[in-house]
Amino acid sequence: MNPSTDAALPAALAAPDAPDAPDAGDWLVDAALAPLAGGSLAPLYAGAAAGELTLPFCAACGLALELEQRACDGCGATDIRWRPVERAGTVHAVTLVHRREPGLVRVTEPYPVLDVELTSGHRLIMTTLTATGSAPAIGRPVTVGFRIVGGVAVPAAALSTSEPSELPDPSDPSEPSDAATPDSPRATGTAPAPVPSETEVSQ
Amino acid sequence: MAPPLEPAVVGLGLTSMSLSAGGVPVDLAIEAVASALADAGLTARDVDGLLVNSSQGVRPDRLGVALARQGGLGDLRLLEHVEIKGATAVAMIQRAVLAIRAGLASTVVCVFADAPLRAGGTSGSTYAHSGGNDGARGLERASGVLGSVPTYALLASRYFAVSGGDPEDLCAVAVSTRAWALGNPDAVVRKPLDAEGYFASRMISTPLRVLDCARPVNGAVALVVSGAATPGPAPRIHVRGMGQAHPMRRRRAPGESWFGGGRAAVDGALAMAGLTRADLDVIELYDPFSVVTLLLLEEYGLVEPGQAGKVVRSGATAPGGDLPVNTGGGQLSGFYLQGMTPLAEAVVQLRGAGGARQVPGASTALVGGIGGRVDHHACLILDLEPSR
Repeated sequence: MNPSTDAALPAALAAPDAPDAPDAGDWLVDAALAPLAGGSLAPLYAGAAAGELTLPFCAACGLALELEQRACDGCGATDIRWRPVERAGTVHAVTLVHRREPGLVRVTEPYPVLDVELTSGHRLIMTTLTATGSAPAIGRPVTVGFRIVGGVAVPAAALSTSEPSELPDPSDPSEPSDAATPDSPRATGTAPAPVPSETEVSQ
Repeated sequence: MAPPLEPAVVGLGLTSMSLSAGGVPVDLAIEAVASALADAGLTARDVDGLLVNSSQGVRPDRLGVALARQGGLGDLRLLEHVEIKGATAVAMIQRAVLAIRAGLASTVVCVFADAPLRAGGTSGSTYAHSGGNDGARGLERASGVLGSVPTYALLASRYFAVSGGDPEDLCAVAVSTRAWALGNPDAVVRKPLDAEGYFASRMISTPLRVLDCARPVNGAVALVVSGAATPGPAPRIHVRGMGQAHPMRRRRAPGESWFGGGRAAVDGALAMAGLTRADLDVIELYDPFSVVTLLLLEEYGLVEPGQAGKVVRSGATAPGGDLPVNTGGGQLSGFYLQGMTPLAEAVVQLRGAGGARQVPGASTALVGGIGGRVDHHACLILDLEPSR
């Protein structure tokens, strides 16, 4: 993947709030691993591009659904509503990946992959916002920001704890979800009340 | 019309298991089918059913029902490409038995072949480039989850948190399974292994080391299931019990996302067989990663919850132990041909053909196949005696 190819990405694929120099690329993976922004998870990526973590719920009973679920297992409804959730959760499972596939993984050191249990109830697999060689412990709180992979914003964890060395750099332009973001619900332990908004996407 | 005899496994054929590139699935399948038919004393003209199991993911050379034409078979009454991910091989045997009992076929060949090892690349590289960029998998891949090891590493991380297990438990599985492989000429890794060797092996994705992962091979296995008398010398291996379970775990709080719910498959199979867990002489499990052996021992009710690591560390599952598990070296040290690995080993053991690894007097086996992320369970109770 040469730089001129990256630069030729259609402007429409670039996140609106992407950093000025997206060609610098993601810290972890090559742009070839960019997810399909217009595919089955389009509402998630559209939300992510606007700095929101947008996930599916049953429109009828409000149950948190899996990313690829098409009918509610609680009530059977097929109306699925994607809406922003609190960008906070805890580590449910974690691994430090040592095998780095040449051409796809850019780093030279092991990298973390986390299964994060969000306060909304969803569980979402993500890596960290920035490179780190340590794996956070299960149960540790995280907040969720976004990496930019090949022009597509994808959720990533900021390790929000008392260990200063693992805090994200607040000046990092790829971190639109810094805890200071005024419109971000900060309540801990409870999911935010459903807030209908223009960013909701029904599917 | 009911078959003349209780449907049974009457033929087993394995290709050589190759750790290097070469061979295409259809050719490997044809070789295994010919070997299984010869083992049963049959020819292609005796076959009226074919069930095909391919590797998951769309690869241009994946096995399909075209094998019937390409493999030189005659007219068939049953032909299906079965797909329940890794649980397929075990489910194919269930399907074959039911079809024979229903009079829909009399002699059914079940085959799986795969060739993930390619020139110029490792199997790990093949898997790392598989999965696409859409859906949940696309999001995971963009997050660095390439191949299946990081996924099972997350499972292992969670399993440890719930069960109190640790890497010593994984080590015990790898060492125990390797000890069995030493006695299996079809196993691809037959070098003695101890804890020191295990902990010196390369980390892939914590806590899983390379020795916690299955050994992919290019190869094939075929079985012949028949309700007719066959001239082969080997004893008929009867399918006394069968069961499936497909727990719909959800990726959300508060349940476990990664495991739980497979026990019903074993309970159902034992009930059908009229047997209990104490009657099982050998346990053959689908073990793509060491942690899965621990998980399934608990999930299938073969050990108490949270005790799998302790049981394996005690040597109970190793040669000479009283709970023999994956007696051919499993997928970790034997060969990774998905559900065919535990299935073939169960047949070998019940035939008494296990040579140096034979469990004395083995007459009843549990075969457990899993698919997806331990989402699908299919199991069999195989027995030298027919159903009562």
